[in-house]
Parts: sequence; structure tokens; C-alpha cells
Amino acid sequence: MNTGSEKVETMRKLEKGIRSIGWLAMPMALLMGGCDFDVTNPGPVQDEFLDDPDAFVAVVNGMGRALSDGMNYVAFHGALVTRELFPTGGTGQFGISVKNGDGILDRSEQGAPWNNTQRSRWSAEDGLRRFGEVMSSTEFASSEHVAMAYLWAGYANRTLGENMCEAVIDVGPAQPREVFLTRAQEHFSNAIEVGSASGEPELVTAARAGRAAVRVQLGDWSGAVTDAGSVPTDFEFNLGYYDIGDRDQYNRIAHASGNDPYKTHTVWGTVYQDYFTETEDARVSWVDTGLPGDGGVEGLGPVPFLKQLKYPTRAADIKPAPDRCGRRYPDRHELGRGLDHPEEGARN
Amino acid sequence: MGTFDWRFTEELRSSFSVGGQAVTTEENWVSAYGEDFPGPGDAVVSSAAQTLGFEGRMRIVNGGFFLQELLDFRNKYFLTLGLRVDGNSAFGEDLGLEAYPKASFSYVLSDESFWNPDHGQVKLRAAWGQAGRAPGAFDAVRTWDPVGWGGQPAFQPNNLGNSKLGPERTSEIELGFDGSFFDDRLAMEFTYYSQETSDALFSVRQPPSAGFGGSQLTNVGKIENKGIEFGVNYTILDRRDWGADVGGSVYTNNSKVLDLGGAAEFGMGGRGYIVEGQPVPVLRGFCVTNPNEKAEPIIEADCNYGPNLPTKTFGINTMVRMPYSMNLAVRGEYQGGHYAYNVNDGESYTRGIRWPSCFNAYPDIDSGNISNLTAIERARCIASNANRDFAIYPQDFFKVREITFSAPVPFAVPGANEARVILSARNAIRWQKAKYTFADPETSGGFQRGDTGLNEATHTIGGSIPTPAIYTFSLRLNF
Repeated sequence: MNTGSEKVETMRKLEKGIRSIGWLAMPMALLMGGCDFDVTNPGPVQDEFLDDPDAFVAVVNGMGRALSDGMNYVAFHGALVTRELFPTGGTGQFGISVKNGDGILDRSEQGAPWNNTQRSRWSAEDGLRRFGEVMSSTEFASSEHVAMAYLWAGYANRTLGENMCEAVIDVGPAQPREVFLTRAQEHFSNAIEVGSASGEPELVTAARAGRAAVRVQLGDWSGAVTDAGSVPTDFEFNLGYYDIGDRDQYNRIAHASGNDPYKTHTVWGTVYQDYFTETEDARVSWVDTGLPGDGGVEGLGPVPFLKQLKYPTRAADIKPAPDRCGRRYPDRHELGRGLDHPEEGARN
Repeated sequence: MGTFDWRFTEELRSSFSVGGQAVTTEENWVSAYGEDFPGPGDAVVSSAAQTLGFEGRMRIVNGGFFLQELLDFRNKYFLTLGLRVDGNSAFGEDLGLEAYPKASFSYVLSDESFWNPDHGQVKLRAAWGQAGRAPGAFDAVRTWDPVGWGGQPAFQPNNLGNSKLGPERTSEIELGFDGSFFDDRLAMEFTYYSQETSDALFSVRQPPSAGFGGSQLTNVGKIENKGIEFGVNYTILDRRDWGADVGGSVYTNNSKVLDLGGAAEFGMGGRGYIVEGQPVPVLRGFCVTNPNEKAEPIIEADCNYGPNLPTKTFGINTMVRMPYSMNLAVRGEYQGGHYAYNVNDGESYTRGIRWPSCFNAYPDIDSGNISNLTAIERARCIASNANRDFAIYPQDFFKVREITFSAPVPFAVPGANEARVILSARNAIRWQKAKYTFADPETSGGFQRGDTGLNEATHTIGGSIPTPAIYTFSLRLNF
């Protein structure tokens, strides 16, 4: 049992301890208070900074870059499955899987075309949302940035609608692919309206060309013919690819079949091998390198590497509009593209 | 930072500790890329025809302090109460301070008067505590990457962001005892633990239609983690020239997703998924339901293979002391109950690369005798059938972690007080359950971030260099 003097001693010790903590806490507080707790990370850019008008050019360019990425993968995977190109058996970098080469689009292997093209759709539509929030209605209706964003949104939705089986919008339910095409048509119409107001005739023509193709898909033949009629024969709308040391900006088909170092795709075994020999149609030209392709194909072994020249360099553009192929190849659906309508000549 | 001891009475003592820390992490990096150099000679980036430069800077601040009081009554009952407060700066806003309390109690049962000292010593213990993990400083905010496009400025989505992101909190109860018996020849430790984590932080893969690829750190529901830890060591023989110790350990770990808060199940990459009622994470994918039948494979989607982390780990060790100061030590470990995706096998199956796990099947495939193949062989070894998911394997394995023999050299070394030779082999012997793959289960797939713990990304197999088998011979001299 504690005596009275022990209790006093205990209390003294306690007070001493508490005072000690107090003295200790003071320099801690000063130390913490004197610290700079700001954090920085100048790499990624905060979302709110993109509301600055100075960022609008880069926001719109980002939409184009995203569509360029998406189209790159859609064209790359699609060309193999449809036998517009033939796989040489290269399955590593810039090659494709055996299933893909066999013409099977396995869900577990087709992330890149879907993911990249969805990103391009979302980027463009989110940009339009952003512009709608930070611009006045008058400014929005005549902004070149808005017009271009509508154009990218139209082409992104068109690419999805033409190449995917189902539509999913912003984590919503699966819907028929026509949903993409309908959205594309609306975006193209808005691009025409805003582009006209902002004085962008080239952009308006590109939007009409895109809308013509979409209307074909939707069965609006008269509308398609009207739009196509307003597009000059020599008009081109290009998606840019760049040979500036960044592989993601290369034309993927050109890089995969450029013999620098990849030879994973050949014209050998496609309909164009004979077609070009017979017609010398420059749009599907190729050259015999005398080399075998990368890898080998089951049952065939190494196959001849006939280098495609449609995309001669890694910086070759892809032309989403106009689509003239239908005019020259009325039996195109037999090549595997699966288009439903022989009237596709109207797509010009 | 400091500890203050005082004695209330002869029987009641107190020890109060307080401490704190602030950690600032700064990273700065610059890199350059060059392509198309003009010719022979040493190349420098600036001489390339095409050059690209990259720079990054990052600064993050984390801080916290703790208070702890330990009360000791009669050197037999020990009560510890503590509080830890953590805070971190976030990108644009402060996530605030989080307090994590803890309490533990231990009781030396063998110090009681009714205890017969011949029964050895026993200490009982119980503990409860909370711990937390805050999201990274930049996880909560939506960000964009300045990527460029043909030399023009361009932004692309980087991090989706989540303004509601907060720290996760884990509460844990531990019950156990430590004991030594038979004049300390037998030592035992046992602990049962049960953890429950709320608002668990997971990297959730985002649907592509949301625009942002990759994963977003997200607070997801509630998970539990239970198991035991048991260790024992027994001295079998303790003579002047001869001695022998043998020991073992058992560690079990069973996790389960209790509640996803209404959210849909999701993938973490590496074929790991978070699904209610399943382990954290569960390996999921396509599977062949009739693997051993000589028939066409019946393939089902969304099969739950099993947990990705080992559910049981057994250890065994022995030490033999022999005449002339010779020693032999052996230690082995078994881990099992878990599954992982083997990157090399999956890529090889789908790319048509001839792979050892299919060597038995290729002769029949080449000769067209498909009917001789089992369903799993048809699914794995015929490339046009293959799916990467068919390379999800059980990962049970046993390794002899160490065999070491040491003995004094049988002759005098001038000037040396002692000279010993040591022969050692580490990880030299391995057994694994999956006979059809040769990849070491302790390799990493190399495509996922593979830290361990409850909130890891899915562990995959095959991409990295395995833990090497090491054989050493050494001569140790003491002067």
C-alpha cells in the first residue's frame, strides 16, 4: 500500500514526465510547422488545367492522337483476319497470335483495338463536355476547337461502329453497334454546323465524307449520296503517323512489314498478290524482297515476304475518308470485310 | 523520439513512449533518346538524327507520430495502449490525419503460485490493433499525360482519379502463447490471427469505355484474412560431442472477400479477380472441365481456379552437432494451396511455340492422331485452340532452402585461432506439384507489380530470373 509520501513522489514524477513531453512536443511542432508539405508532380497534368483555353489545342490534338492509336490497331488486326495481309508467323513484337492469324478474333486477345478506339471516342466526347462547360454558348457554336472535336468524335464512333459487334458507352450496357453509328452521324452533323460557323471548309468536307460512310451503314442511301456528292474526288482526310522515334506514333502496319527489322506480314497468299500483278493498281502495290518472313506458318513453314507498299513508311497516313475502295472492289465483302451492301460505291 | 519510465508503486511500473517522423521523397529524372546515328565512333544522343528528351519531378511528404503507454504490474501482467497518427500530403488536397489505436495484454501464467515450475514457462497474450494504408499522393486526382502527336502538343488520359478515395483500415485480433518446457528443450509459439480490412485499396482495372485505360486505386468493400502461426523447436540430443535440434513451423493464411459494397466483381490483371466469397485475389479464367478425358475439350468461362497467395506454408529445420565441432544444418519449406498464371507457357501456347509442357503431345499432333490426346492437351498444345488461361497452374512446391556442413580444418593454420570449412547449398532441391511446367514458382511474371501482401497485384510466374540455386565453399579463418 502506498504511503502519503510515496503518493506525493509519484505525482511529482508524473508532473515531471508530462512537462518533459511538453518540452519535447514543442520542438516537434516547430519542426513540423517549418516543413514544406507541398507536393509536386509536374509530369501528369491535373484535369482542371485542361479548362484553360491555352490547353484547348492540346486537348483536341489528344483526341486525334487517340483515334490515330485506335485506327492503328483496328487496321493492324483487321488486315490479318480479313487476309488483306497474310501472317508470316511472327508472333512477338508487331506480330500477332496464331488464333488471330487463323482468322479468329479471340476476345481475350483483342484488347488493343477496342481499348484504344474507345479511348478516342471518350476523349473526344469528354472534350466536347469540357468545352460546353467552359465556353459560352455563342463561343461554343463557332469554335474551331469544338468543330474539330465533333469531327474526331464522329470518326471515333464510326470506327467503332464499323468494326465492333456491340456498342458500350461510358460503362453502360451492351447495345447494338448501330448506336455508335448513330452517335457518329450526330457528331458529324454538329461538326458540319460548327465548322461552317467557324469557317473551316476542309473540316466540313471531312465531316460530310465521314457522315456519308455512316449513312451507308445505317441504310440512309439518299443521305449518303447527298453527302458523298459534296466531297471532291481528290479530297483526302488523313490520320497522321510519325517516324519520330516514338513507336506508338508509327504506322503499325508499315513498321510490322517494313523489314526494319520486322517482316511479320506479307502480301503473299492474299487476293492482292495476283490482283496487283494483273492490274498494277498502285493502291495495293507490293514488292518481292526475295526474303522469307519472320517465323513460319503451320503447314507452310516460312512464307515469302512480299512487302506491302500501300503504307511505304512508318510515317504513312491512314485515310479514313473518303473510302473509295468500294468503287473499285464491288465484291469486297468476299475479301472478308463482311460489308452487307453492294451499294457501297456510294460511300464516296 | 523518447521513452519515459517511472514507477507508481513497487509493483506498478509505467513506460511512456512518444515519437514521430516526417519523410519527404523527392525524385528527379532526365533521360534522352536518340535514333539514326551518323556513323562509327562513340555515339552521343545529340549526334542522332532524331532525339527525344524526357524529364520528371516528384515530391511527396508523409508524416506521423505515435504515443504508447506500457503498464507492468508485478512483472506478470503487461498492458500496452498505443495510438499512431499518420498523415500525408496529397496532390492538390490534404487527405487528413488518420488515427490507429492498439491495445495488447500479456500474462505470464507460469509466474502464478499455483504453477508447478517443473511444467516449464508459459506466457499468454492477446492483442487488438488497427493499421492503415493511405493511397498515394496522386491517386485521387484525374490527370492527363502530355504525349505529343507529330511534334504538336497533345493530352491523353493518364489516371482516372477518384475524389472519394480514402485510406483503408485493418483491424486485427491476435491470440496466442509462448512456452518452453522440459528445461527449455522444447520451445513453442502459437498465434491465431484474424484481420478485417474495410475500404480495402485495390487497383481496379477500368472499363475501356470509361476512357482511361489501366487501373485506378479504389476503396472496395470488406475483406478478411485469418490463419495461424505455429513454431516448435525441440532439442533431441544434447551431449558433449553430439547434439541434435529439430524444428518446424506452420503458417496458414485464408483470405476472403466479405463484401464488395454492391460493386461488381473486377479484375486486377494477371488473371486475378476480386469476387465476393472468394480468396483475395482468386485466379479466374477459361478452364477445361474434362482435362483428362480423351475427348474434345469442354471449355467454360469464368472458372475460379483458387487463391493466388499460398494458403499454407510448412517449414522444417534440423541441426546436428557432431564430434570435432562438425555441424550439419538443413532447412526446407513447403508452400501450397495457390495458383498462378505462367506467362511463358501462356504466350507459347497461343503463339504456336513448341513448348516442353506439350512435348508428349506433339508427335500425335504432327501425325494427326488427335484422338490420342487428352482434352487439356488439345486445348493447350494446338495453337488455334489455345487460350492463355490454360496456363494457370497450381503452384505447390517444396524447396530445400539450405544444407550447410561446417567442420574445422584438420591441420593448424599458422597465426589462426580457428579455421573452418563450410559447404553450403541453397535452394538446390525443388519439388513442384505441376509436373507439366518447369518454371520456378518463385519467379515473377515481370508484367505485374508483384509486391506481396493483402493488396498486391496478382502474382504471375515466369518472366524474371528465378531464385538461383547457390553452392558455396568457404574457408573461415579467425586470427
